[in-house]
Amino acid sequence: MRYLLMIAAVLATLTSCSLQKDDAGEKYLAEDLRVFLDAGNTSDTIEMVDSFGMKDKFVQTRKVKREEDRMDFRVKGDWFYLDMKISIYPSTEGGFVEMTTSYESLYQYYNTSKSFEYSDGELVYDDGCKLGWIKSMYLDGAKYSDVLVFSPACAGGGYKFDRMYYAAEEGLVRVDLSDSVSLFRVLD
Amino acid sequence: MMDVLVKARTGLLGYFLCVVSVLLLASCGLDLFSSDKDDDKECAETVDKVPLEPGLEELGGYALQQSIHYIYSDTLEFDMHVSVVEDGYDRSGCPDAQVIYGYRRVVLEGPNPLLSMGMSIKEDKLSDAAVHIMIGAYTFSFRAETEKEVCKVLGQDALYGRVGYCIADENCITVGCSLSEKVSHLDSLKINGITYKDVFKVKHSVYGSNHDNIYFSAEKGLLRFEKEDGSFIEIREKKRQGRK
Repeated sequence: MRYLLMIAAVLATLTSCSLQKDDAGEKYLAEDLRVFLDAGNTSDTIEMVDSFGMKDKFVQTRKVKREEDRMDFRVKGDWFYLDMKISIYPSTEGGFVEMTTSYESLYQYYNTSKSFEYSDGELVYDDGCKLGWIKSMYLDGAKYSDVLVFSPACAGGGYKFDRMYYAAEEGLVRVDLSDSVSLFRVLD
Repeated sequence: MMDVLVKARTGLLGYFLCVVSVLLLASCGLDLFSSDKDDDKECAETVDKVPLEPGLEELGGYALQQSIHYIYSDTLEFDMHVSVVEDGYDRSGCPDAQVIYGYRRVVLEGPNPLLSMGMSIKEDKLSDAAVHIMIGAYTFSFRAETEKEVCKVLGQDALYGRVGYCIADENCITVGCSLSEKVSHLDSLKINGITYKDVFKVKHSVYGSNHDNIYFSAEKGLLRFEKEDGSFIEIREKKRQGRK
């Protein structure tokens, strides 16, 4: 009997492992999402200014792998600790947009990572929370197109950050913080 | 005899299958062996506590709820508020340490929720105390050695996190750091008409090309942080009144 139970455990384990790796359907990236890959590889330093007038440098990099239909973006501040990553990659439903934000100080470490799946022109998280997607917006006289608006609070936790705005071409353009403080992109 | 051999063979096979099964379960991502109770048990075995030496525990003399006035690049004045002053003993990174060392931690928060300054000082038998100062994404670390010459500075990659770190032995005593650079000791530094004594100038080094500096005194804490591009945050105290 013990012998049989052991074999059953092994078989069950093998089955569960194989089920995890089983993919249904082919992965692809929806045409709508390809606009975020068009800017190509970039690496630049931008300036953001807060509501009080303090400026800070942010380094941002974007790596695009066209053969994989994948984009990885990262932006990080100096004095203002904000570390944000965006990854776009294919899925069987048309693609994922994964948003990761983190904040660290001597006492606090905050990190959230949420994947929004493409569905009929929208990007939806498991709980129904949607990633904002603005076709165009104006900020300080500048026009930004295809802007993703990430609200960490919507996806289950939003310490320090209320909203972040990422433009397909320009990268980070605006961050709304708690306490009604915002960071705005400084024009070159 | 045969019966014994069969039983032994069956036992070995069973043992083998059990091991395979457990390994397969683990490979599927199940964490079978973690237990917080084990950590608690190790923590309880700590025997010696080494407090901060008198004088070192000041770390800028910050008091809870205190406001410190700073100026940003001569364009903006703002207050940083002391939100945390904590004294304790630290075993971070060494849960089974037999000796733990005293520390003090201080956090200042600015009007912008993303702007904070964290400072900590931790006793260390190797070379007095280790001081860590975090401002945004920057970390400045150094040792307050008795010769007033500080030898260790940690760097931080501008985009991908820290590149420097210290290695500690089983008792949390630092035995070496991956980056090192001299840190200047100034007898005094004058800011806005006020003279601060015993100031450490710590250079933040990233691949040897960065010129960001902080100025820190044990008496007043963070005095100035200047970036390579010329922008800075500097303490702006009112001039002390002379005695009549």
